[in-house]
Amino acid sequence: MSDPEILEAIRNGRDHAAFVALYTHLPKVAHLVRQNSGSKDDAKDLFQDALVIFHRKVRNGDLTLTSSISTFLFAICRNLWREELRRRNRTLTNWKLEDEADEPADLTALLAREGEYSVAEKALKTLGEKCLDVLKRFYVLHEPLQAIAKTLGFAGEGAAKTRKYKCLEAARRRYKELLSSTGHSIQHA
Amino acid sequence: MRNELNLLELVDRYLEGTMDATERAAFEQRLTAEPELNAMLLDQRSLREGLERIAIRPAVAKAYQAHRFGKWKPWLGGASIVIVAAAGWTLWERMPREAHEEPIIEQVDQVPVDPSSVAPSDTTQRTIPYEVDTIIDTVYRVLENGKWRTVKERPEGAQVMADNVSLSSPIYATSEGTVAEDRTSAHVKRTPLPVRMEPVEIKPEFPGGMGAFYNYLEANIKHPDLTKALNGTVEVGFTIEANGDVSNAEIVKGLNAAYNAEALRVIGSMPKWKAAQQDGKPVPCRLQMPMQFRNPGGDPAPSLK
Repeated sequence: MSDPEILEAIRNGRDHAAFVALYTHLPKVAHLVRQNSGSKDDAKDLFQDALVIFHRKVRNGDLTLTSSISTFLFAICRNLWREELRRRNRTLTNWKLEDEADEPADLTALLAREGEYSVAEKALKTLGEKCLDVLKRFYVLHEPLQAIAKTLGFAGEGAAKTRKYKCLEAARRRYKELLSSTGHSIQHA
Repeated sequence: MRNELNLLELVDRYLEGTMDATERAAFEQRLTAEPELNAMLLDQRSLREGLERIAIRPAVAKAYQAHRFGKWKPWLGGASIVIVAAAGWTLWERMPREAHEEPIIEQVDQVPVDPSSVAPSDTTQRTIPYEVDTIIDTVYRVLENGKWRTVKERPEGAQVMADNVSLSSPIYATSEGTVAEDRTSAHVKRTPLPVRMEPVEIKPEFPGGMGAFYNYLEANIKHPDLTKALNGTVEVGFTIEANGDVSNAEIVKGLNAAYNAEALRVIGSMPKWKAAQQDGKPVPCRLQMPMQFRNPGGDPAPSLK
């Protein structure tokens, strides 16, 4: 798949095909990570985080690609990995200087909030299954409260709404806790 | 709580962009005046984005499996994992033929082939000696007039004796394959697996064939804990159901809890097979095979139970 085809696929909800195509860029990232004190699994996790970020950016329509997708993904990974190594108190030792040249200039701004989103993701994952289900149905799938109440066995729309609110509050508390304990660092979800 | 619920609704509408210009301006005015509302907005945006991330993860993971499954990835780290066969098997076309040894067995999956007898179709392809492309077949040994004979059909009433297959002639069949340069044979050595299976007319088939099956195993089997990596074998049995699903995976001979779990994990997460057939109908088929974990320099396997 070409870059425009991949973008088109994501916009049209053909995520699987897009992701499979995007994984062809994984070896380059794996090489980078393995050259810089990371494992194969680190590389996979890192790359998957980059895929999630890329997907969200495309879906939200706030991505203007100034380079190829490959370059973009690689730049995201390099940034996230640099962050991760900082957490592990290491630096990129086998860094190739010429790689820096093709880094999109606005990448820092683009990734500014991703650390927080990643922490939010982590916080949400500590919720109970049912809580997460309610929130996903409401916010991601945009199911009406009435339908959610029926599917999940709540007394009615009001009960579903209250439940949703309480779950959200629990997630928010957890999010705040995590945020203050990690200091905005990137968490691998 | 009512008030906060209303505020939250407001924040959500703002984030969704469903406010009209007037309402939006008023809300933004409030944001500058009420730091708490602003904080709520930022948190809510993060949480909603977090939910979106969680929702997309399964698709990312699924595509990864598809990607790995389709292509062998060479960046193996740490201790190498070797899938070793104690017995070899034959190519379909070479059936039936005599084995190098005559084990006393009821049912051999495959008969070993002399490596030199595997004709190299293309010399360049021989640079990948561990790519295997064979067809699983089942043969039977029957005792006739004091001699063992290999037959393709399950004999009725013939004297057959059961034992485990234990031949020592691994074969190296070759085929085309995309294997990256830095995968050295010293790192990963592959010989065919002695997969034993129930006799059926048409054997079950892993999507993409046996080569793909090996790729799948190699790409997915991991040492549960590299710091405690062992040398040893886990023998697993599993059923390919008539619908192609894998079921009833069990440990026939285990190593330890972690390795047993790893073997079951890999078997349990296989894609659907093409089911075995009998009389033109898909039928379940039981398979059994060893998975060997190797860690050069590692601890030997503890005594088996």
